[in-house]
Amino acid sequence: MLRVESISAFYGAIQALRHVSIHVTAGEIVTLLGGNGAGKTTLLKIISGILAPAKGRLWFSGQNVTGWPPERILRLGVGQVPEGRQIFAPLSVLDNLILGAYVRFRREEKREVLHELDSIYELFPVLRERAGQRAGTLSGGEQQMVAIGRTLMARPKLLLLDEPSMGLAPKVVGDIFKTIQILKSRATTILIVEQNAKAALKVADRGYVIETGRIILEGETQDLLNNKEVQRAYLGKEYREVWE
Amino acid sequence: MIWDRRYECMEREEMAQLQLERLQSTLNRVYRNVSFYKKRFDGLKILPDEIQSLKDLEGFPLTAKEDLRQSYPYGMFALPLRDVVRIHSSSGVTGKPTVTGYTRNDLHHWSQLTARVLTAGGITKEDVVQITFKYGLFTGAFGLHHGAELIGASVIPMSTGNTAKQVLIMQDYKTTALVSTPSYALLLARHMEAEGMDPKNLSLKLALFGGEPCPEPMRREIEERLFISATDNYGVSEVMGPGVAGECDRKNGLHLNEDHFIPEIIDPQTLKVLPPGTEGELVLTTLSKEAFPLVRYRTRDITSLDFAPCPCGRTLARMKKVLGRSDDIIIVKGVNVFPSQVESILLEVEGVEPRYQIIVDRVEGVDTLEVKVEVHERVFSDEIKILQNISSKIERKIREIIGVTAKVKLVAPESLQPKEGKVQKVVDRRRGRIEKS
Repeated sequence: MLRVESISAFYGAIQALRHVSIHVTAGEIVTLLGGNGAGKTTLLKIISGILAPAKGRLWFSGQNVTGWPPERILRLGVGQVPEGRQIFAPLSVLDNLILGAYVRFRREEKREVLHELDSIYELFPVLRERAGQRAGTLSGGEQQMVAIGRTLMARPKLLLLDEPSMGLAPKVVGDIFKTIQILKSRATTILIVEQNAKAALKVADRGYVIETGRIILEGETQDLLNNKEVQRAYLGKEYREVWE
Repeated sequence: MIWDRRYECMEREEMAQLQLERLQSTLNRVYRNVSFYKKRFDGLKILPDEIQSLKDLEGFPLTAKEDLRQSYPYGMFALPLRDVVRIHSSSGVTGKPTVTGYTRNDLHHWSQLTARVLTAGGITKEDVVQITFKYGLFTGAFGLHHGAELIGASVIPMSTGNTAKQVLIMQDYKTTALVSTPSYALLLARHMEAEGMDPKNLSLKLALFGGEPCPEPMRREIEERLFISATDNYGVSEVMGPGVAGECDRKNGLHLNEDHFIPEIIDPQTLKVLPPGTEGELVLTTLSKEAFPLVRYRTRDITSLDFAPCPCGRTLARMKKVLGRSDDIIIVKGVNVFPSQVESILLEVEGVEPRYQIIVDRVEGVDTLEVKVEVHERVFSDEIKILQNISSKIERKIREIIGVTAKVKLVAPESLQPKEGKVQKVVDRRRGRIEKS
């Protein structure tokens, strides 16, 4: 579905990505693990068209979309849940969600959008209760639900999640990842960028590890969980033998 | 049967993407973790960052067996030893041994890959697999052992030797699949015939050959004598062991597991990459190995690659049966000659043994090729005309198949004296003389 081929990107003179290649197949959940400043968000921004790559190519459903503006990529079916939620705080939860259907609104019946809304409420029952409340007054976890729900309103073929666990309490992180599991069972294709490797690897099928703008590992979840470098760097495990 | 459809039947475009991703991450890791590669890349001013497409791999330096020897024992490991759960090594007959390490993931992948090879060879969970490779530092036995267990077959870890016992167990335990070198399978067949046993009465139906080249006539002979179907598989100890490539029942080349290894074919003299289909030396880059990754490792094995899909459904490239080693290559009058080619010709000729010696010389500036061949006891005592017939038949075949004129000399059985257990297959007398003149 998504194919990223040797992408390089710069912020001014600083190279943020060095020939990064990844792919996501339909129905898969893929995670991109890495520390702060490794280039995770940069890569997502390139996929959603917010940032143009200096080099390399981007393919979506067999179509070369390199350099396409974000609105065209969004219409193609790539929906991003931004880092730090970035919801419209003064607007109500309902308005936030309906804004997510912006690209569909004019072409489709209002009823269908409302139907979509129902399925979002099904996924996050608490949002139905808070529909009229200003989004800015919600808790962090609820705001994250609004952000995910808003993106889902556009019915994306590929969902990009940027650090969904950021700044959330462990219990809430668990809830969010449970939702991701549900989305997976509905055959949504997802790319999750995470620092919380443990949580991400619980739901992902495959993953990549990115360090200083380079991919250093690729593998199925089990391979990554068994990899000692991943264990040391991201899972907080270190085995020292007696003889050492 | 196909063990892992997702990868073995992957669209070529998807495979290229997967290879690119894994190649980039492998190069990033070796550059960071293996000082040998860091030094070498830095010395050549070539960085992993420069890999933009698979084609760019050509620009990277080759790794030779000698490099591995110089890093003896653990110099080229990409992870600390405590992450390594298995160590294998080469025999070290011709120099310092080469040592390879495996992490838990490496072992997991290894089993998956040998399971693919075994499945392609027809083995299922119903089979009783007798493994006659040596269990020990050598990779062959353990590699295929774990793959066979993963499939769910019943594995008999016989190891080498004790032919009488091997045959007895094969009969009593109802072995259905034999894992061996082709020459050992032939030996088993001979032993059974000598003991008056009929291989037809065995449960044996499959054989998987590895460890040495298996020329087509040899395979046919074994298949006919043991009433089985035999497939060939290919491995390189330093790269992983068995599991690199294996034949399917179409027997039209060995499917190379390209999601774990990138194959290239180079000209062993100029070291340039050759186009697909051309014969040359196989060079392998590992894509998933954690403990002991290798970049462009020269296998010294001569083969060619075919990227056309196989009727079996696999899309993996097929490598031709290994024809010989680039170390063994003899150039006679500008023609490449491999001892194994001579061997396969001899196997097709009645009355001779595949024990031979190739003598290359230069007389008045012209290369000459002589082949000494041992004949069977019964033929040797026969009249001279029959012997002449045999030698001219071999000469004709060498001319037709290899394309050079050779003089064939038939010698008495057991007359070619082995040196350290092996008959020296090639004697090249040209070298000293060239220097003198």
